[in-house]
Amino acid sequence: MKRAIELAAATLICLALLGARTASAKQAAIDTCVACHEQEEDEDVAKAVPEWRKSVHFAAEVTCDGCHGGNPRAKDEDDAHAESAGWVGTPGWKELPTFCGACHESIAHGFADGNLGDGFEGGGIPPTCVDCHMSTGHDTQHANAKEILSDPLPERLRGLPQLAQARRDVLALVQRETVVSKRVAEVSARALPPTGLARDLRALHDGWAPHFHRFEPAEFARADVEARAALDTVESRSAQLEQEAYARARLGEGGIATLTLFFAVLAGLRSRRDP
Amino acid sequence: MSARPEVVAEVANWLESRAGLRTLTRAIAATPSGRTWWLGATALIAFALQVVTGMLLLVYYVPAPDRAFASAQAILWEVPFGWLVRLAHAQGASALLAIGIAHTVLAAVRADYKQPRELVWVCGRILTLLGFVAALTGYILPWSQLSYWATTIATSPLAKFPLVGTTLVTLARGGETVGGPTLSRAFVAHVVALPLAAIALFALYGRLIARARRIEMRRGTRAIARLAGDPRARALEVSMLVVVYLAVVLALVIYVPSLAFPLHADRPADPLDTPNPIHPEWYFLWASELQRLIPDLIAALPWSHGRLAAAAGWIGELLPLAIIGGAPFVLLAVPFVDRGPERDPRRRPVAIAVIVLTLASLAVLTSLGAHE
Repeated sequence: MKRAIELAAATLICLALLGARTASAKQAAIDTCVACHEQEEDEDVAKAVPEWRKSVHFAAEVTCDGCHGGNPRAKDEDDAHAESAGWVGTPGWKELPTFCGACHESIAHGFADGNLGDGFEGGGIPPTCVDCHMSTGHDTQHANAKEILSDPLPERLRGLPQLAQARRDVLALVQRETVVSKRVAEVSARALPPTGLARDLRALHDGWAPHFHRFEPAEFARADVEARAALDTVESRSAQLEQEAYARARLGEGGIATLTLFFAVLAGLRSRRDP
Repeated sequence: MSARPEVVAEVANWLESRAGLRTLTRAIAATPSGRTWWLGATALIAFALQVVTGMLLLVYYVPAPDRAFASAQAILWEVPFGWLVRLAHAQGASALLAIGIAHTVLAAVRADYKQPRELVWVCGRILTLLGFVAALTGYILPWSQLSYWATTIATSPLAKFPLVGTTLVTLARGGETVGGPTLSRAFVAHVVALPLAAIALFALYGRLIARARRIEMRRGTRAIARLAGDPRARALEVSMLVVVYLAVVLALVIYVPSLAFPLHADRPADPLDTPNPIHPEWYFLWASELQRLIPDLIAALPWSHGRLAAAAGWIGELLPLAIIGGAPFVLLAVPFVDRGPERDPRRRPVAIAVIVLTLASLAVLTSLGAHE
């Protein structure tokens, strides 16, 4: 009995540890920065925390210091924001591409080399990461080209000379991509794994998405042709896989029906042997 | 019997005189049976299906690092009905482990480990544990990214054991890193050693349980239904089980084929590309979650910083290994710890509480691991 109680206690402790685990995982994200900023009286500063909790950065466990630097475990405000601890502060508009580019390097290069980056020349204020990915400041989200280019347009995109072509080419492509994505999801659930369709689609998206950051009309047109050809391939492969899945399902269902019939015969024979 | 053609009767008599098969089937049929004999029988059927599908896979599978992935893909996409055999083998593995777990839980609830069944329990649990080892070794064989990295993750914690860590890793991998020798070892274990051990243990299990039941009948300690001793009735019942099991596996193969193929199973192994995240199969999720949970938890404790940080890190790494490595021994020791005579679950509240809490812990860990 004593041993059994000890075992039960050990299991209870295990469950308690599980609760603590959730806390410890959160601990990694909710450090000193959050604890202090959440209690900040200045609403503009305090709202950063709930906004960040809704962001893709929170989901990916990117905490405040991941972008802003500093020491998230410091007990003192000055220590936390010391330059010696890597504090880079809040970027100005022109610094934003470099600030986000510290992690998203290839995208920042594309942006700097393309039409959007050129917009800084002559003191201009072109659209940057924030316009499409952070509607309120810290709620970073994956951007959806269709939503960005649909009305109402983000303010800083409205004056871009390449806008009309971008809207025409990109929206048509995104629409087609959405349709093919749905089809791939349906087919992947039924087809023999691994289909590789989702991977191909993702590679396709990753291939043309950088063009969006460069905003070059000639690239849009070229990417559009390439992406459409790739989508055609994915779609025709989907159709082939769907046919195969259909044939397998019918065959399998026939097998199950036969087995059911066989079971009924066996059950009948068995019942005849009961006294 | 009189309607049977004479030649068939003659062949049957000839076989009977030489092999005594009729006597054997009568003896099996006359064995006293518990109410849940069908669960153990289903485990045996599931194992038999794994052997049959495994042998068919061996016709086309090539156990070499440069050809294993291509041959496994060819079985799926090119060999006629290869998809059916490979998916039945993969889904059947999950089904076999689920049956093993269910059998263990039922035996624990019914106290089927108490005198005179101690060895029955030990034999049954070793069989279940062998199922897990077979699943682990089978995982390696397709040599996909999942195979390579899941094996790397599963074997790397062994290095943390003091003194013998490096030796253990080398023993498991056949070298410092996962590679050709790992595949060879997994292949031999999965295809030869484990099936042979399982066949021997199934035979031993049958003998042990029949003996235990006879003792219980003699003592009158347990109500056991004695069948009429009709070999045909028993054969029909087993056939019905076979049919139901095949239908369930077939349904899994057709309707949820993706269950057998988690993320990263569609690319060949690449030692230079670490995929993220790596999720083990459902039956190992609890263990991987435990390995994440305990170091996090210990790191969060106030005394884990400063001078004790190194010790805390060491404990955080070794404790989950001790729990995972110790669990099989705890399971095997159950009959020698809980030795009271009571078997009725209603009169063993502590034992039932332990079982429920253990299952709840495993379920929570599995759920956390699945959503990681």
